[in-house]
Amino acid sequence: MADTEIVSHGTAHAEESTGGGLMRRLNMWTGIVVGVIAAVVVYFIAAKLWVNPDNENMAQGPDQAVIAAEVAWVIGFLVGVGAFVAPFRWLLGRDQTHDDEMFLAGKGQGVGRYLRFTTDHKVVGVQYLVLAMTTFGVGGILAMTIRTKLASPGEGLFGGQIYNGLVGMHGIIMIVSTIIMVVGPWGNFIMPIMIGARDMAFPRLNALSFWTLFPVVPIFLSVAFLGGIPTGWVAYAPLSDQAPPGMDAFAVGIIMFVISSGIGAVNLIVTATTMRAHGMTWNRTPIFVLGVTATSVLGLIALPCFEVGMIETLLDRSQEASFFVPEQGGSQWLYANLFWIMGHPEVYVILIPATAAILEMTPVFSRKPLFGARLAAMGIIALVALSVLVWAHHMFVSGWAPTLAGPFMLTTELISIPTGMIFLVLIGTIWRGRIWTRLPMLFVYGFLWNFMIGGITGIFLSDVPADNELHGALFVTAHFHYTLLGGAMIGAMAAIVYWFSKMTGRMFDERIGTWSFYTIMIGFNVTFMAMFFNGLSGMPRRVADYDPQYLIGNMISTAGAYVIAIGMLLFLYATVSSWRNGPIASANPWGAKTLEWYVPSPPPLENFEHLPVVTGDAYGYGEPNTIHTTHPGVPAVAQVAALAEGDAS
Amino acid sequence: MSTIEHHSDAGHSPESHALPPELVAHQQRRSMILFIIADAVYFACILLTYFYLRALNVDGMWFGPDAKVADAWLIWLIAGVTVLSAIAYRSGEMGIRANSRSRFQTGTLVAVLLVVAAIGLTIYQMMTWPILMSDGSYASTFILMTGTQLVHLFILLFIGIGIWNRGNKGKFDDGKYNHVTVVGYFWYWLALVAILGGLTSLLV
Repeated sequence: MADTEIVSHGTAHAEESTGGGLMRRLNMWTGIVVGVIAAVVVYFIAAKLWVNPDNENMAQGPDQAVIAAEVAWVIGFLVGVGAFVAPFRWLLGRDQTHDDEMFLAGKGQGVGRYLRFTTDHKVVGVQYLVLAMTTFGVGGILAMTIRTKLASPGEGLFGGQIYNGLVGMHGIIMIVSTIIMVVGPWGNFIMPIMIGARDMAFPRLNALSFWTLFPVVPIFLSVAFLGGIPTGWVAYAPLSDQAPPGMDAFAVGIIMFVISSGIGAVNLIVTATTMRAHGMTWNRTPIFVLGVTATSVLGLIALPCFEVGMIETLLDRSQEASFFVPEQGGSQWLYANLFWIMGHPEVYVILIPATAAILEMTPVFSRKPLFGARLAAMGIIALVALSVLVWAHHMFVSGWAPTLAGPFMLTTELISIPTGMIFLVLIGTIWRGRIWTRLPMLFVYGFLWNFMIGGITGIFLSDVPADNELHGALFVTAHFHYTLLGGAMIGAMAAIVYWFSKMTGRMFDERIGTWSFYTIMIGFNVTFMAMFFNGLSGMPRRVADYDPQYLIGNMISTAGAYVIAIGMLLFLYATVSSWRNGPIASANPWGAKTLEWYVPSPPPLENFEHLPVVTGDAYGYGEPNTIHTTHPGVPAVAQVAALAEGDAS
Repeated sequence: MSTIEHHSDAGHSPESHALPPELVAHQQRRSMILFIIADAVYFACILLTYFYLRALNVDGMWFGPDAKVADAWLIWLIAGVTVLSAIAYRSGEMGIRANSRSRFQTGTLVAVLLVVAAIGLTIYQMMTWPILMSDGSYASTFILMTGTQLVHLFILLFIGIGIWNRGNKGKFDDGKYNHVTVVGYFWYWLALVAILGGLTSLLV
């Protein structure tokens, strides 16, 4: 195709500057100011129009006003942060100049570039990391509040309504945090370098993805001030139809989150499939890249189901629609299906990137090739394929389609096969390796332990009779925390300590990091093992009060939660102090072979002066004279020597 | 090695680092296809809603006592106008491929005007519809389908005006028309959705 139109990317630098003065003045603060003004103005207009006795639908007035204000906040924020500058200039035929592009990339802007609509993938990666850690902290504080409340039976700190709201907010904030905590920071920061690219395929879409997510956080926090969500994060109908206006904010937040995720997923897929370095066939592509790509595909096809469910919830609430209200022809099973068609793939959207990060670093610290690398790749692809066929196991006790319980039990049990394959790859890689027990490797061990327990207890729950007993019990809470927190979060922490030096140019404090690791692991297992026992004894989940016979288990869980909190604070301290004062890192402190370790730490604006050519296996450890890449102008022998020096460290 | 010389990011690279145009074109086409796949999942969920609630007919309220069937002629008129706009756009796209600027500008202008007409007709349809969201699940689902299509038509109008305007400014020629092709994918997809929506309306 004889097409030379790349104006939206780079050719515009041949054109003369068309100004861009406004664009250069916009940042996060202008976004917040414009967003708040838009939200307040729209709220008062909407309240005037709809929350008055003359309105026939007065009952829906507050919902309509909240929805309008939340949407105005998002649009106002995006206008204020400069997200729409480029599209409107495209519309007007005034493409951005090279100077504009360099400004958007953050060149010469210091720390200020982190607060702008910056297109450099490394800036976006850092933005995602900070956002994920912040939201994770908020979710953690909510978790501590919940555990403190459950330390003793009875009314305690607060009543059931507040408790339900806290559980719902904890759930959704943690789900969003865990979805973004690996793909966001490392899919953006590391993946393009890992494949030998200078940036993502669509740098502006990359920034748009992040800045569409940013205003979602205040929206979720606003839920608490709008009456909360009594439904938990699943937002089941018909309770969601009856919930206070906090549910409107929740739904708008989810819709924006899905849009942000979709934009990000498309960008990651196109980047991974079209921008790999010369010689990087799929067989030579690092497993982390494959994991991020597979996750993006899964998210792209699964998350819109949640979006539709939330739009229908909003219409039920604000327009008296009849999607989930049985007396008007709706069905709550419709919502349950829409939700779980998204919900179970979403578990793998969380798990696969963390698992891929663990798979990525295990050969580095075992000094062995990735055992059965193709098996791992097949396992990831099989997880993606099977994950869309298992949703109804979440609905075994709902009464929906009992005849399908058998097939869904079978598909759910089948999914343990690719999971087991990945486990086999990890164990096989460690087996008889020259183990180099640095902090990332500790997290690999932690991941294996926690995820093994989470996975095996999941097989119990896939069994219909067992699920009938356990579905409403605390056992399920313990199971999914073992997978999502013990597996995915530990994997995400491993990714932080592994790639920290590449992002910051400084080494992570391994001493405090090790204390943090053991503290978290002990606290985590104490907390959730006690929940398993309480659950098996019959304690229901999602309850603000409980029978005193479960007191000891709850006290142990609460004590364990405080230990986790101490570990998390230690990790946070290690992260911040290392970022500020950690020892300067070399380009390749782990002696790894993937491409990100061939560039300085932190990498320069465009990563590579000359793009590398991939010549071999990314995990060829222990194989003499194997390197993954060559660089023009540097003899291969010298590169082998440099790599060997890294190996010896 | 030539690959090294030409492989590059585009967003903020100096000219020597610019990505090969054919790669950029390939990326843009692929991204649009992926967006359409996500949109297709969204549309499939709405169809699932329609047929699931229709099949269940909970409490006989699929078609509530106050509900009326939406005017089929208006539904098909809007679908027809949308399809015609896609045909006009395609004609414009073929024009730029053949380096016929006048055909391109005429085709895209007609396409944009037809989208404006489709938007106007859809708004008219929603303003005069004999049903409300609260008239049962048929009414709710059909109004949702219509509203969703309206939002998509507004997006199409934005990018359609952009294509037409950029064409006027001489941004496209027979060797440089990838944006026209990529936007075309979205245009044809919306025309297909309009037809599928019309067919769905036959199954009250």
